[in-house]
Amino acid sequence: MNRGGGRERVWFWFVAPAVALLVALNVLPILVSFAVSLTRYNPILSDNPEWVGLGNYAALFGKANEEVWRSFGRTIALVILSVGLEAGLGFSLALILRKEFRGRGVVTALLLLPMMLSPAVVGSFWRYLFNTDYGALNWLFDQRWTWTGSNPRSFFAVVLVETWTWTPFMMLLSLAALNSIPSALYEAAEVDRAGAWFRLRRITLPLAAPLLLLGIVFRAIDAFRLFDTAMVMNGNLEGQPTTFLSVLIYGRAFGGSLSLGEPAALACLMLLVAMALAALVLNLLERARRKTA
Amino acid sequence: MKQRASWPALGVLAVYAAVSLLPIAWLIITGFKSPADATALPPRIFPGASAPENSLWFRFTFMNYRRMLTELDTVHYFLNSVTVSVLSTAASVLVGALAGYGFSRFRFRGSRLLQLFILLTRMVPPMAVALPLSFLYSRAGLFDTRSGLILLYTCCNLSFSTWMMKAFFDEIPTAYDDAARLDGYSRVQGFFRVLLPHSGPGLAATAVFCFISSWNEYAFALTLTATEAVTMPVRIHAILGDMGRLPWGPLAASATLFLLPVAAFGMFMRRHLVRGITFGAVKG
Repeated sequence: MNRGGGRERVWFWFVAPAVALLVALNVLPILVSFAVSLTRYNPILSDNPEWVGLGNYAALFGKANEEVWRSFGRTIALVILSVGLEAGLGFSLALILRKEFRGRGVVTALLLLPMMLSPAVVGSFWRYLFNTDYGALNWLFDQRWTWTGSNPRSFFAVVLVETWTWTPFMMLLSLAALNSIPSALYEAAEVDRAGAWFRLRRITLPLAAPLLLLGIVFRAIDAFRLFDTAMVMNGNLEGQPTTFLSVLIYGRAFGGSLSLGEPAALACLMLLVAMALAALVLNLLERARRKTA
Repeated sequence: MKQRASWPALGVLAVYAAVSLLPIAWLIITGFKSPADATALPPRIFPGASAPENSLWFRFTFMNYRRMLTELDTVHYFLNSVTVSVLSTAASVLVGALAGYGFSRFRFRGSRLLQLFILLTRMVPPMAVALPLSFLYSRAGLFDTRSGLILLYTCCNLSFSTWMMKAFFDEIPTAYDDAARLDGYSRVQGFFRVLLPHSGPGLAATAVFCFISSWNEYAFALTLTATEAVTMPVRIHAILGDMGRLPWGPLAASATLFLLPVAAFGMFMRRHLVRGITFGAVKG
């Protein structure tokens, strides 16, 4: 469709400011990061980076850097576990919320609260609830569990907070997906006396799938780069169950480390994975748009 | 077809709602507790004039709010958050609306590619660019300045605001553009005098989203500020270290002050939420 415009040159002035800003603050830093990743560079010792080619990348794969791969593993575990829980819980809640009952609007609104709050701020408060001596959680279970430091429970504490925060996101997308299913299909199923299980498997799930998938990939991208919750709940020491990739990069790049080449290489690798996930999201977004347009 | 919800289903929903809202309620009441009440077990949950021993009552106090305003210098950081969020939101919505309009109304070579590029920038992990950014910011004199954060947050939200505004402009008939032209406006004039005033709901929805994400942002605020331009999320986390062993009261008070206004604000935008989280692709 020709949207009344056509071939005017004036489009440039509409689009240019946005593109210029993004190039300056997104593309440029990425290029700088890539350039630094090819050097040995310590701004305190010398102003001149020393060219080492792919040396930093090779070092990341080396034995001395096992922490990088552990961190990568933890990050993947976090993505799978928390996004899985969010999708399961969110979809289940949406199945209930699509039915009719009094106060539905209010309940839906209240359930959305966690995802609007600053994760860094709420995460700081969660430390209180997870406190070993007087935390509400330990009191509830009548235990003296440690939820921080190198204890494996710290990982699950972060998963729990992540799930608490983002289940509403999946719930909302699930609701939109459910609402987009034509009710005629259910009426037809009724006529055929199809059971609830059949309706869920043959109508609801397949038709809701595109939007659900979109939500899952969106969440996966965000969980993959999780920083704030993990950082405020358990700090940035290396080797902890919550030292995810972003936390590791932060520790190495800003923790007074001597060399910037290696953290930059790590950042570039992370970017690469994120972009692969992004390609997936673009694809799904396009499909969702075509479906609901 | 609208079925009524069954009782067991409503029970499950009620339990989840209670569990999900409990931490928030806890946060609010902790802000009114003395350190002794905040660490008492069993937890004290009812506000009262005094706190008898081993009861569920705590002594209701404003002392955390007082400390927050006096010794913690919260006003400074709060104003930083307000300044940075408001200005970056305005900038992001304006630049995003321009670009969104451009992509909605004009056909040009590379339009599709540019749109994808803009969407892709949303997927960049902050920590993948934080180091070079702090580098560039130091050189440019933007490190630890509010302007630096405003610029960056504008950019962070741009991907979202462009796509969102494009989706909204796609719904405004081109008849408006034609009418503007018949009135003798140029494209740019028409955009500002006719199209923009007609996209009020879209602008509002986009603005709320941008505002909330700037308000809550932590990673860049942590790596690109030191003292002057520190915003509330960074500050509130720092209270944990500053206040000794029992920072919970002041922490909860600051967090309440910081979180609740924005949460209330977000509730009003519920209608647009689905639209927002899918970058305008799906109407809720």
